Amino acid sequence: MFVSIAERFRVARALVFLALIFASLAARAQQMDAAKGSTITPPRLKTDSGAEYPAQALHDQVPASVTVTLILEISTDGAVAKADLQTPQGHGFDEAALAAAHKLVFEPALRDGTPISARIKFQYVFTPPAPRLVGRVARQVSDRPIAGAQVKVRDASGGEHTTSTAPDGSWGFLDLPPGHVHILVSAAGQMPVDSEEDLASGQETSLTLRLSPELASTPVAESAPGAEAPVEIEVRGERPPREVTKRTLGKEEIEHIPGTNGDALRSLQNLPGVARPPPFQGALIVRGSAPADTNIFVDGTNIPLIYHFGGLSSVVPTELLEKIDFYPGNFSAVYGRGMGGVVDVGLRDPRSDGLHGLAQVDLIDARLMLEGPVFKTGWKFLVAGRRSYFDAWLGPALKRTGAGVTTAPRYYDGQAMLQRDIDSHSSFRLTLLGSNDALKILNQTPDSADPTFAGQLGYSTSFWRLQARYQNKLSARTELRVTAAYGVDAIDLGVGTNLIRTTLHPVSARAELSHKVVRGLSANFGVDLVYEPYHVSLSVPPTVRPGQPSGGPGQVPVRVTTSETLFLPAGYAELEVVPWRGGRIVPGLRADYDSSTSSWDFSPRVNGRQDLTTGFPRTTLKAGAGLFYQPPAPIGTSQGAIDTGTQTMLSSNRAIHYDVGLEQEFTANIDLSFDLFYKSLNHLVVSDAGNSGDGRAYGAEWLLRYKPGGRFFGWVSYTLSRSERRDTPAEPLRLSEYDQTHILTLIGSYKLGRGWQLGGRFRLVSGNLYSPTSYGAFDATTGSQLGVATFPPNGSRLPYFHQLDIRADKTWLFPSWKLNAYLDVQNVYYAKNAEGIGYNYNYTQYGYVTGLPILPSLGLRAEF
Amino acid sequence: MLKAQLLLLALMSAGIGCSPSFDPPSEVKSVRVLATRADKPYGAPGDTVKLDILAFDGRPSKPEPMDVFWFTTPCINPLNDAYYNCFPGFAKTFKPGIDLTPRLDMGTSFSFDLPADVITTHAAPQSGDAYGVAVVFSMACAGHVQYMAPVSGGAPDALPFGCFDDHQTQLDANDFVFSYSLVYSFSEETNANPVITRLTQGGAPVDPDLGVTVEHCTQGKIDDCPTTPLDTVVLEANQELTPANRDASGDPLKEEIWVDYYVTAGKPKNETVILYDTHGGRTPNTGDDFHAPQTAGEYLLWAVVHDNRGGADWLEVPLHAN
Repeated sequence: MFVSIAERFRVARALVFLALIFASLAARAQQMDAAKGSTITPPRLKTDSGAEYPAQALHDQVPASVTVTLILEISTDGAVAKADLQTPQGHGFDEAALAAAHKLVFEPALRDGTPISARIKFQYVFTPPAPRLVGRVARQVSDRPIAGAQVKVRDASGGEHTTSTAPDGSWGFLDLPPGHVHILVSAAGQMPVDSEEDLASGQETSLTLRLSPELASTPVAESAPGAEAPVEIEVRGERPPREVTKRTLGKEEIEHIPGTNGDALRSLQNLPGVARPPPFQGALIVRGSAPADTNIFVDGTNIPLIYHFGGLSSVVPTELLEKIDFYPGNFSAVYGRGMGGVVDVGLRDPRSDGLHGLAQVDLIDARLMLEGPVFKTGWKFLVAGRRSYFDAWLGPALKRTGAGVTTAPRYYDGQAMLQRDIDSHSSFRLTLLGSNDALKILNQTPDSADPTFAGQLGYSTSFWRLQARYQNKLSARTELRVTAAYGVDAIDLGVGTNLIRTTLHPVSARAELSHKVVRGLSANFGVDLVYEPYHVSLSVPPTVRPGQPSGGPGQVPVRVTTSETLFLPAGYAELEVVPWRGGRIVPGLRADYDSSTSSWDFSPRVNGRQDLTTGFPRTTLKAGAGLFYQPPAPIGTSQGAIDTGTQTMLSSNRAIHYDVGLEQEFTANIDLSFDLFYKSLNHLVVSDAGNSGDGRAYGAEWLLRYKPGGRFFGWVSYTLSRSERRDTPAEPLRLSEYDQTHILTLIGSYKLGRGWQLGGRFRLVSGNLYSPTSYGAFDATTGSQLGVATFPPNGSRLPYFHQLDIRADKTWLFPSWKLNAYLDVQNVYYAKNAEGIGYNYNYTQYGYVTGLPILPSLGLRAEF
Repeated sequence: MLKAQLLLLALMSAGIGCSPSFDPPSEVKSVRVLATRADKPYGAPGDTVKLDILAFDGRPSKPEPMDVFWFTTPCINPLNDAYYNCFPGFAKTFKPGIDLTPRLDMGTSFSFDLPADVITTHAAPQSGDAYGVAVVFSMACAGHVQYMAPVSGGAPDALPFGCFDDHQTQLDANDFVFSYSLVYSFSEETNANPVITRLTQGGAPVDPDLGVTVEHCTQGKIDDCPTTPLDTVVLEANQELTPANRDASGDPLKEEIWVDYYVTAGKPKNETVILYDTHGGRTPNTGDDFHAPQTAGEYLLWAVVHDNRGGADWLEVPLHAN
């Protein structure tokens, strides 16, 4: 199918008509002027070059005509002085209409023959261009064209269209309606063939049909099955590429990245492939996947949260970290039950060289840590804790707004560790870690749009894990690692009569045996078990899929209470093969069982690397492909929607990751990483629609990095990507709510000397998507005015986000301890970034909701 | 789980970002429907239910008068209880471009019969009492009502009716409101309308005939105008138990009851105030502060009380700005 991009941009049928704005106003003005004896002539259109049908609407496959209404201010010379949207429609229609409106020329309005300025209502009606169906008919073997063949097309409404092929075998229909068509081609002396196609607005479908000679002795009925004519369908467009990578941040980078308050896990948001989450949403959006698709592990044990609420800080403090391994895709068979990325946080062992401690305070929280040997027992200990104290000032501030505050927002986390090296080959460690966030307020003055979403608002989320780890290097060739954990996860959210309460008791165990078989060949075998009893209580409004409107606040809620047990055993095997110099291939296979679906998922994966040069500077090619499954969640879907968890006969969500990339060293400090990725998603669980969803995410990532080591570190990270979803195969792909086309991050930090360090971070990111909403029905039962969101959803994008953060550190060194003070200022130049759209009560006016103003944070840290 | 978090965090952040400012929803300066009230918010199968509508034409100029039109056939048990799933049925009843006045009821009240099988023809709920629902559509329109054919592939909740003037020009959102009312029928649950006992100004009861009197404001911004305290009194006995709604401990919750204020001039500090919370009962502060109008004159003030199960009551009083 040859789809001409130029044709897509060709002017669509743009019907233009004029109406007097504020008809009653004008009428009244005329009445008033008539009373004064004046005569008013409205402006008349002189020149209109029409509006282009937007390319975005073509891509989104907007199926119907769309009307954009503008309010134009016509100056006395007939030019359009100002054009405003009355009701945005998204999908590029608004921009196209505004661009066209500014080229309009009018004869100005007249009062008693004298030109006056005027305001009028003006509408553009965008009608999707008709699909085109073209093709060629040729002989089966020789591929020579067949002239004069009859091509008969039956369209979706049953209408029949007939044409004959030209001498070169070509044929075409330019005005068919969108939808399913049946094509039948016949020619003298040839066996007829037929084909079925789906035509979409603005797209060109191209077929090549090859006919076989008629055999007089062979009945058609017998020959038909085996003689099915091959149909070649060609789609013009860029083939999505592939990629694979793993990223690691160093301690110095983590502690000094501006805008993160030295928080390790928040620093992940500066890496390629990670989207900028909306403010105060601690979500990790990796390569266009939903946050729920990315798994977070602490030393191989899954934890439910990565950030305290608001994304203010991580649930595991930076000081405890040994490493953060971040896999944006194509992770090894060690990890499963996830389609997005993986973050595996490695905790360090306690120090054995005497007693050490740390105390840190900033405007948000305070933390303490103490570690050292337990006398001369061979055991080492570490205890750490953190509590936020912004409830001290946020609580009174909320009370001043009229809210009744029972528990002001607060969080805390704690960690305790005991570790012992049993001998030179083996060690044992016991770790307890947990986190708790809570608030409870009474909102007495809710938004009039949905007063049922008000009253007592309670929120509590907590988890803890007790983890035991045993490592033993059994021989020079064999190593055993065993981790087991038990814990509790609890979420309790209540707003008015809405309630979500879940309690999980996960028991998990991992064991991996690594064995070096021969030189150049290692094997890893492992088991990964999760046994998880859980209880869920829900009382929530009926669920709707993206783009499907809510039934209004007056609906009876869906109430579900269930207690079940998930059993998720898995096993994996992985080889590490070095077949030749500079090459490394890692094939793996993982098998996952899910008791909720009573089915096994098998995930073959392979990753490979090849050094193209020997020695410095190194050039490495890397690539990977693999299958990834994610079991249906008890509640919630990969699409981010709340699902009531009552669907049956589900299977796992599935993704296929493809990766290809290049790493290039330039100097000892500077290297470049370039990656292409393509992620195919299918069998996605959709609210009330089973595994009907699918989608894809693809893009390119660049990371030019200056490694720490000297006075400077920094990087330039850029991601170009696209993420699309649909809920059923019959729908066109739409942009996912996690799509961010451009993500540019520049980071630099420089040691000035005398303990001073100064850094900055600049981000330029595509705005988040939204669905423009206009005037809808009024729910008279609850007094709520409803809006009508444009369909398909996510048709418009907020303006670009840009922000500069700076950070200054000063460190004082003393004989036995050191003191560090830092000032971290976010949004230095006060960019008023749009983070959402706000509407008036009946959706006839709108404006941007802007994000945070300048946000300084001051901190002190003492270590000994 | 994560979605739940995001939901909450969005709520938190909503108060921290900077939102655009618009005319308040309490300001009645166009054709508005403020509420409907069913004499039986939860009717029994076969009951006759009477709906009253509180609609007001607040336009400063009225080229054509506003009327309330009722669509005479209620929509019973639409798919997923969603009002917009009734819209496809209109295509069988109405044709586009025709003045529907002769086919609609007019007036501020409307009665209909709940079908005897309203519960049995509804899909069984995932849990709780069996129920059925009737959706009644109405339209306050300063012109006449016409059906508009749905756009293929368009939003399913796009309005199926428009309000047109005598020149067949479609009027905008200032000139009409398309509304729907839900009347449920449960096999077990009952529901009564909340009742406004009185409105108080500065703690003193307001005579519904005499209304509220304030000095008009001379400040440039309405938010700087002096305020007078208003309170809508609804007795605690009105807050009924809702056995189907339970808290995290499994205890039944009570109704949520709130009041919406509407005025033709001036501005309440809060358009909506919760009077009774589902968990905590009567809220500590049920009052509101009312900013006086900036121009002397005679105006109107409404207090509309709702519960979260479709019950409603309202009070209309004169507002005198000296």
